[in-house]
Amino acid sequence: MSSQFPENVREQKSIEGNVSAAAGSSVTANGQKPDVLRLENLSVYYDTARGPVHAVEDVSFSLRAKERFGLAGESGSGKSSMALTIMRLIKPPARVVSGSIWLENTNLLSLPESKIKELRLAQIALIAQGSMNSLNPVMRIRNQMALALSDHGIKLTKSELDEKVTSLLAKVGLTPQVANMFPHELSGGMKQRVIIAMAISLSPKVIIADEPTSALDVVVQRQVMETLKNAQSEIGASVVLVGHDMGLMAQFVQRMGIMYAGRLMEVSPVGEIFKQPRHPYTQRLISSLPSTETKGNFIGIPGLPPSLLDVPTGCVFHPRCPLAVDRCRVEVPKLRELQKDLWVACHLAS
Amino acid sequence: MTALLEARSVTKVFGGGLFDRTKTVALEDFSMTIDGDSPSITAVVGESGSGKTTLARILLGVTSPTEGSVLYKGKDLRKLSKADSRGFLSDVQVIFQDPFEVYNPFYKVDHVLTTPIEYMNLAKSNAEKWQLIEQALETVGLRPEETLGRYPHQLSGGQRQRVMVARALILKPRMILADEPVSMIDASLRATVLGSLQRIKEEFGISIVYITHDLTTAYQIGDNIIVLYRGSVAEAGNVDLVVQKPSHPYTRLLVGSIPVPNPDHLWAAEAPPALPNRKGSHKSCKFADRCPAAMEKCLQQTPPLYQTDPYRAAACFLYEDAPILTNEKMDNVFQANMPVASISH
Repeated sequence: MSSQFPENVREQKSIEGNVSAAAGSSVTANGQKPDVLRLENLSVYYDTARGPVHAVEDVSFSLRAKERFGLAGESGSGKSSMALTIMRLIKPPARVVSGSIWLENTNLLSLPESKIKELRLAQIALIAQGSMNSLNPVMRIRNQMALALSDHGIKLTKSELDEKVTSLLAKVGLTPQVANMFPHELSGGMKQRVIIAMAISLSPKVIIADEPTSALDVVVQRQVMETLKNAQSEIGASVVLVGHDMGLMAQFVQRMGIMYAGRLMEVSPVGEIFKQPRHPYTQRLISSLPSTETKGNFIGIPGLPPSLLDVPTGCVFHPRCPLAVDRCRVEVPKLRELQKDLWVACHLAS
Repeated sequence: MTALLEARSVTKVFGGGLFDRTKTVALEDFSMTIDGDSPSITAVVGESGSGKTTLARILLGVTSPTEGSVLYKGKDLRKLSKADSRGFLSDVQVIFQDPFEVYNPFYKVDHVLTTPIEYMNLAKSNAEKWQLIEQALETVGLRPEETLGRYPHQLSGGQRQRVMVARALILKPRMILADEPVSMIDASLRATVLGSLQRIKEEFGISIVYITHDLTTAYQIGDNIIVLYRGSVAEAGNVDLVVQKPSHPYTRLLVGSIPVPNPDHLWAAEAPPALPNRKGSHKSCKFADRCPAAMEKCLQQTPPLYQTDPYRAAACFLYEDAPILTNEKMDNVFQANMPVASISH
């Protein structure tokens, strides 16, 4: 298990030196909130018979305290692989090729499995895609919530447990009666809120929410997202929302990263992404979004995302980019800070 | 004039029988007419459980209604002659949600295009067959040389879905029923599929019934819209009216819950309380238990459709001063041949 993670990541970091942890990597130096989570030059490949699939390539970004950060991309852009890697849940054939993931001062990739188990849920919790279907169908909600606590060595008497479960359920807007119910007695939205209650039960510093509302109707989706927002601000956690729904990103996050073919194209505050996107891909992604505000103004992006087995040289977006010049075909653009807080991986952006 | 396809007071009940508790009314007293002569895009919008897929299956004749009937050119779908049934198969085409499942992975994509031509004897020669196929592919914005001869897994979801639109076109249908055609396709490719649908309405005069859970795309390509809630029509009419100024409290809730891709236009601060889906008396308005405007009357009676505007009807007692529109006449609020803004490709 541990062999899939490089042992020498600490050394790597000191060698590279010029790590470009996107946006605010210098802790509190410029009055910003300190970073809770920091990814540095992370690459994750899947080994296949036809060669390695470059699912995540050289990704760096950081998550500030109490921040809601979005990680958006289309299918196959590497966003879910990244979420799983942060949780150290990525399994072969996937392997971490390089990079490090710092949760405050701990590199998650160099920790032994036993330590990671302690950190999960307690420090960093995951709300996985379709996780509402992961509830045990033959166990009452209370007992499932108690399991999460007892697994982390928290021993409670029956009345203490009842109190804890009631208060957690209240935080996600559910009545205490839900504790006595079985999953099949709950609607999809209620189940997803039980999952959120479990995710916040140990007040983690970071919550990774990977498409937390993908199977829910819009009305319920809005309720679940608002529940997550309230719970997050109550326990003071940071959230990484992983997803493809740009509308949901606009509603929920403060800052976001745009992924394309395993790479980060742009990391900017959400207002900038939607109103003045800097990267040609982001610009086209934004204009492909239909809206109810104006009619008939959305345009698809011509061409297709590249195969991750055979990634184009230079910028991964250049085959679809109308602005591409010769340099884009040979040189990989680095994510660079265009202005304060605006990070773009494009040779032409200025 | 005979309508191409007509649903007349269709009701579909699943279950029931011995255990009344499990009876589910998937669609209740639903009427709609698709007139083959004046093409339009009718969007049918609803959440899961609203009956929109049941409606699609009933219109296609895959599921028989419990009550009421579906008529193809005035004849009951269940009693079509062999010739009529062939006519139905070529006049009414369908595009399904999942562009992955409809292909047989062992055949090249050409297979789904050649089969209907051979089955319906549409081409006299091989050359004519391939000419038909190439024309259809070009109409939906695919290059035949890049598409033909490939296996389904070598195409993207958007390409596969457009091959499905091309397949439907080959049969020169008079209407296409599209059940969630873009829900599994990425945003950047979605616009091209929706654009092809809109273009085939305009260029070939094909009517489209666009079934979706997504009000935004319904607004973008629809002329008229039907909002379903638990098997009944909540609101129907001109798409601009219904989406921009919703009348029914349910439509308002839906429109207000859309995650608009604009960080300056956030959801209203307080979401309505999530009430458990308790079943009211079978006579009450189906939305009464979640409705912020519910009155005593709403719990006692089912509201009929009220025609609130020339081009809109809403099933809500808030509009009881407006004239009642019987369910069979719902189409009266639809406009045919509305000019629509076109999507660039």
